[in-house]
Amino acid sequence: MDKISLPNEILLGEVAAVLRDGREAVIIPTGCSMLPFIRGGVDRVVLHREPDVAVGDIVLVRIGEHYILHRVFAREGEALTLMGDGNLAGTERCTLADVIGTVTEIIRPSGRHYKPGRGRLWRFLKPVRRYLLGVYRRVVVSE
Amino acid sequence: MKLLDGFILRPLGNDYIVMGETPERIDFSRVVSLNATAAYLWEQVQGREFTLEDLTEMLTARYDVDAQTARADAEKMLVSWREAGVLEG
Repeated sequence: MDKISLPNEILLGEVAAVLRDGREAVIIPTGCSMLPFIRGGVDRVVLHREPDVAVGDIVLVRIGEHYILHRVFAREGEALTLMGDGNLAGTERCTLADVIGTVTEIIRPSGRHYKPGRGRLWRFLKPVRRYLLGVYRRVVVSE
Repeated sequence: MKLLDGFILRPLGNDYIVMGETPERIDFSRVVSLNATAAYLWEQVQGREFTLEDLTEMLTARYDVDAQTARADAEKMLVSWREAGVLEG
């Protein structure tokens, strides 16, 4: 089957509508900002609108014109700070109202699926993230 | 032949797409994209048995196209539907 790439505002707009209905949506995220846990173009994720958002959750948010799928790094009341697991620096700020859904499952090409963790160990390794990601990119082969 | 259950046609942008769908979950990661003509045929045959001849007839009835071209187009479309895994029989 050919790969079709749809502009985010079309596809994720539909995804958001499905999630608002209380249903789940499965998408293939793109990019490498959530490495090593989610490989863009390879892994699929299940999204669902959860009653609340906690630090460690991986969320899909809309900030202005952009959609971002990153982990919640910090929360203060309704204010969230996000950071991609694959990013070395750079965070995004948004509010609870910007959250469209939470990743409840990661599905590998093999079909194996599991619940994402809170990313605590990965967060602890942030000082050496640059080196770990460098090794990961060189050594790991996509399925 | 028949279209598999659990695939719903939806408009998306200027075209249409078909995605695997259950009451709980919609799978946007595996979609078949259809133009307006293919979407029309999909709607006509969804939920029932049909043949290549049925599709050819629908095309010649609706569009200004000769039977040979219509049949060839319908055949091509069926191949892509089969490859996408939405067709049975």
